[in-house]
Amino acid sequence: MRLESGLVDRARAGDLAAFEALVSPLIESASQLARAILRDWHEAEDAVQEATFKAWRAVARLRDDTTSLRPWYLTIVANEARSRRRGRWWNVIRLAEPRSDFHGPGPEEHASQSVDLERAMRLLSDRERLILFMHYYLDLPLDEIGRVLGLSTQGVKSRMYRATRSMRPALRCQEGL
Amino acid sequence: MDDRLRQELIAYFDHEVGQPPAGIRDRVLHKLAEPGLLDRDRRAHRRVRLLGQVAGAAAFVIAIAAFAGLLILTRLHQTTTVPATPHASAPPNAEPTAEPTVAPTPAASPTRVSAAFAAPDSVPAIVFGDPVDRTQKDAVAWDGSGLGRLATDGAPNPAGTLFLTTTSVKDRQGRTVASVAGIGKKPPTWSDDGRMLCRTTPDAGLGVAAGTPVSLQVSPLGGAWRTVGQYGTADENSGVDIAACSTLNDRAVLVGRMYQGPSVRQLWVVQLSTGRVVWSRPFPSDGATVFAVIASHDGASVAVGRATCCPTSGFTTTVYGPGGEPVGMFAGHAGGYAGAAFSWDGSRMVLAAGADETEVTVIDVRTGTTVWRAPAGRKVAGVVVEPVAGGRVGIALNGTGAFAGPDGYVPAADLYLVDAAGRARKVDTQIRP
Repeated sequence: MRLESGLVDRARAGDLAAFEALVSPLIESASQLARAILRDWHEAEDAVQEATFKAWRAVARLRDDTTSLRPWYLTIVANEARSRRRGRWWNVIRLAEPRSDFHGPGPEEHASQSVDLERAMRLLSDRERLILFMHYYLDLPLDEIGRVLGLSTQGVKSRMYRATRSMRPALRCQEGL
Repeated sequence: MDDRLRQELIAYFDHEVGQPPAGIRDRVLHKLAEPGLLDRDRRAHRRVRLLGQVAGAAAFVIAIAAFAGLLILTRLHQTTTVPATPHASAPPNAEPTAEPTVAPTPAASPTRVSAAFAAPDSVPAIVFGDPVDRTQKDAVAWDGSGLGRLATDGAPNPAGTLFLTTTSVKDRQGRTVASVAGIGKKPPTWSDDGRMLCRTTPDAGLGVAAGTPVSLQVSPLGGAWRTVGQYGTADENSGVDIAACSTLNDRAVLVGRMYQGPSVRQLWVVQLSTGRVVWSRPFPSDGATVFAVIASHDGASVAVGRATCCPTSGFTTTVYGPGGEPVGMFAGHAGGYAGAAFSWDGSRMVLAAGADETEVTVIDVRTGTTVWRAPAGRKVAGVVVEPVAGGRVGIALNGTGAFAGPDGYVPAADLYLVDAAGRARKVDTQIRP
C-alpha cells in the first residue's frame, strides 16, 4: 500500500480522519491476525481496538520514508495480541476437536486428510504457524512478515522452509494420492 | 506441492480463523473517535511533557506513591485470610456415580445489567462479561444476590475485589490501588490471597536463548519482585507457566511446556518461602501426551490431563495429592480434557466427560461420587471458584461449550452455583465467561 504523504502528514499532525483513512483498509486483516494468535474473536477485536489506539498515539513518530503502514500497524496488533494471550482468567482448558469438515479434494479422503493436516499443524511452533498464516492467508510478503515478527527476511524464509518440510511427512500420504 | 500446500493451508486457515465479525472495522474506528479515548490520549501526552519538564518533582511523587502503596499493603494484610485445608488421599481409579441433577430452566432473553454492583468490597464476587454489552464487566455475589455492573477493568483476583491491568491494580470502582511495574508481555498471576502477584520470567519469545533459566518471582502489590527460585528453562517456543500460586499454603505449581500444541514437559510443586521443590514429575515426550495441568488454589491438588496423540484419543485425568501421590483417575471425553477446575479446598472437581462432553458433573475427588450433574446437553464454557474452604464452584454452561459463538464472540451462558453438597442455584442472568 502506497501512502499518500498528505494523509500521513495530516495524521502526524493529529488529524484523526486521516489516520482512520490509513488504517481502515487494514483492520480486517489485523483482526484475522489477532484471531490467529488469540483464537477468540472477542479477544481479537479488543486487541485490535487497543492496538489501533496505540498506533494513533504513535503515528506522529512514523519515519519520513515510510511507504507502507501495514507492517508497522500489524506489528502493533501482533504485539498486543501476544500480550493478551496468556492473560485470560477463566480456567477451563480444552483441546480442540479434530476437524471433520476440512475441504479436501475428494469426499473419500476427507477425514484422513483433515487429521493429517491437523497433526502436521500441531507439530509447528506458534511462530511457524503465524508465518504460514501471514504468507498464505494474508498474502503478506516475506519482508513484511519479518518486520511484524521481528525477524530478518532470511529468518522468515528459513522458518517457512522448515515448517513446510516438517509438514511433509504428515502430508506424505496426501502427496501420494 | 507449493500450490497444493497453499490451497490446503488457505482452506485450513479459512476454517481456523475465517472472516471477522461483521462491522468490526466500524466498531474499531468508532471507538477510536470516542471523546474519552482522545481525552485519555491528550492526558497521556500532557503527562509525558510534564514529567520531562519536572523530573525532580516526579521523583518526589513516586516516593510518595511508594509510601502510600506500603500503607495500603499493610492495611490489606490486616484482613482475615482463609486457611488452606489439605485433604486426605483416596484410592485411585474412582468412578463417578449417578447422582442428583438440576432440571434445565428456560433462559430469559438476556438484558444489559444497568444497576451498579453495590456489595461491600469485602464480599467476594463472581466477575463476568455482560450478556449484552461485552465491554461491560458485571458481578454477582456468591449467594447469587446483588447482580450489578462494575466500573473497572482488568483481571480479577480470586475474590473479585481487585483487578490487575497492564499498569496498575484497581478496585471495583476503578480507583487505582497500586501501580505495577515491569509487567512485560506476560501478565502476572494473582496469588490465592488476592494481595500478591506471581510471575515466571523470562517468558518464551524472540531473543530468549535456548536453556535460559526461568525464575519464579512474587511481589506484594506495588512492591518489588522477589525471586523464589529457578525452575526449568525457556527459549523461543518453550517456557514455564504458573498453574497455582498460593501464599496461603506457601506453595506454587509450575508447568514447563512447549508452546506448540499440547505438550507439557515437567511439573513442579515448590515452596514459596524457601524455593524447595516439594515434588515434581517429568513427562517424557515419548509417553502419552500431557496437554493440561490444573491445580487447586493451594497447590495441594493437581490434575494432569493425558492423551495419546494424533489423532488424539484415550483422554484421562489423574489427580495427585499434596505429596504427589495419585488420588484418583477419571476418564476424559472424545474431544478433550476431563477435569476443568477444583473447588477452593480441592475436595470437588468439575468434570466434563461422556462421548460428546455432555456429562458435566461435580464430583467428590476422594470418593469419586457425583454430587451434582448438569442439565443434559450443556457443556462447560467456564468455571470460577468461590475463595472459601468448602465453597461453591460457578459453572458456566452453554449448548456448545464454545468460547466463541458463530459470530466470533464469547456466547452468553447460564451460570450455575454449586455448593459442596451438590445444591445448585442458577444465577438470574446469563453471563459471558
